Amino acid sequence: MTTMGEPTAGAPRRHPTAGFRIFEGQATIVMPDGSYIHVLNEIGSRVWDLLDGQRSEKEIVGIICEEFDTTPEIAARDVREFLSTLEANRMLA
Amino acid sequence: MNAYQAIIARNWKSATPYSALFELTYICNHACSFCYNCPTGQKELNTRQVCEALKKIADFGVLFLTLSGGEPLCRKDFFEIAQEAQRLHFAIRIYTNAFLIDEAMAERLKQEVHPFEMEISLHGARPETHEALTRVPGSFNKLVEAVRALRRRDIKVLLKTPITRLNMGEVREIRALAEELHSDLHFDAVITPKDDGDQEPLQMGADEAFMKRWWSDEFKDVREEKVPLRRDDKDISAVCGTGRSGFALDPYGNIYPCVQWRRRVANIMEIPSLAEIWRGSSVLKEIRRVAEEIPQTTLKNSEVGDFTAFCAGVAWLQTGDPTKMYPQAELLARYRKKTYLELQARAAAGEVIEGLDQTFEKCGE
Repeated sequence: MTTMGEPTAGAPRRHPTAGFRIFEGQATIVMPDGSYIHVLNEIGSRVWDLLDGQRSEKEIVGIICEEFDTTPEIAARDVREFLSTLEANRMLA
Repeated sequence: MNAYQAIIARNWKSATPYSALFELTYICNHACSFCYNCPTGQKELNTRQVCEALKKIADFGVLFLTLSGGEPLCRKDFFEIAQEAQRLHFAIRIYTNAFLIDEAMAERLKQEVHPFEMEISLHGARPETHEALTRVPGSFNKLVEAVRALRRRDIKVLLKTPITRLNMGEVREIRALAEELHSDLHFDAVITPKDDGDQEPLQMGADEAFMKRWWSDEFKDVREEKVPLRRDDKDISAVCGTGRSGFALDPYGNIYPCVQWRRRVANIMEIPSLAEIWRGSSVLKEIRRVAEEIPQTTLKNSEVGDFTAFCAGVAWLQTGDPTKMYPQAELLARYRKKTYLELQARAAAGEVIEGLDQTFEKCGE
């Protein structure tokens, strides 16, 4: 059992150096390496918000499915694709 | 317009700030002859208070945080503060003279703070010029080595050079130095009075003859603004972002609408949240109203208004009236307009002039 705040093993997590804010459901992310600014759409912003290291990818897919009225298959595909993109841009821990 | 520009535009319209500049201390290890700081002898915020202030700023939704001073690295608790800022997910800029940045400090900044950008004041291309302004022997070489250390670690550096009568003969060399150091460079043609209204720093400004040359083809390759931009006040609802896109704090916790206009809004230690005062403050409401009026009054009534980069804070310090055209703004606008008209004539004669129809970005973006 994990203590509140400690990352869950294997759970995806935002890169700790990312500066970000989520305003009216839209995330603006500033990555210091390369000084890039990323703006996410509504679903991407919600996934980013959930990347606190406390939830597995499967749990995140479940939340997205619920909140955005989509099928589990589509949600799983989109979340996986999004996490791959974040990984490629070194935005995950 | 990309997604980020759309956010900036939306925040601008709704006066939702996305940046804050926090002067952590007025202590400084330089003695720059035109420094605008005016310490009052009050007790500066301690570590706990600064962290409390950072939390309020983060809760308010501000993303970009500039840690400034004085010299922010002079604070013994700088890294504690910066790490708290990092923990609060700010995009951190540090505005410094770099004197304290050696290899070890550069490594600490990289590993513990992860700054988005370091802004470093450069006053000349040679030690004697830079140090004539900083009045600290060795400060030039320290700065150059600091920038190299930061750039080796892939930390973005923006060199900031106010153009003065001491360095105006070296602007081309300063540009070359910035390129050699793989750093961005911003020249500022405006020297401002001290925050208490003392006009003495203005004596350091470059002379009129140089300003005329600055806006000519002679320095086109040195300037960031290759072609003077016109204002387009159909799109610009306010003259600048004061009290709108950002705000500033001094080392005592006083909140101002921007770093230049020192009209105190409140003290961050005395308010439960920034959200409470941002919409309700009569000071901020007035400042926004003045900033919105200026393009339609002061600038419209000036023959060079459409080329004027106007700062209400500087106007207030120099003339006592934030809406009054001040000499520096008018002079620079005159030369910008002259150059623009010359380029327009050349374009009409068939020469291709890139960027001739671009207009001002909003101040602070």
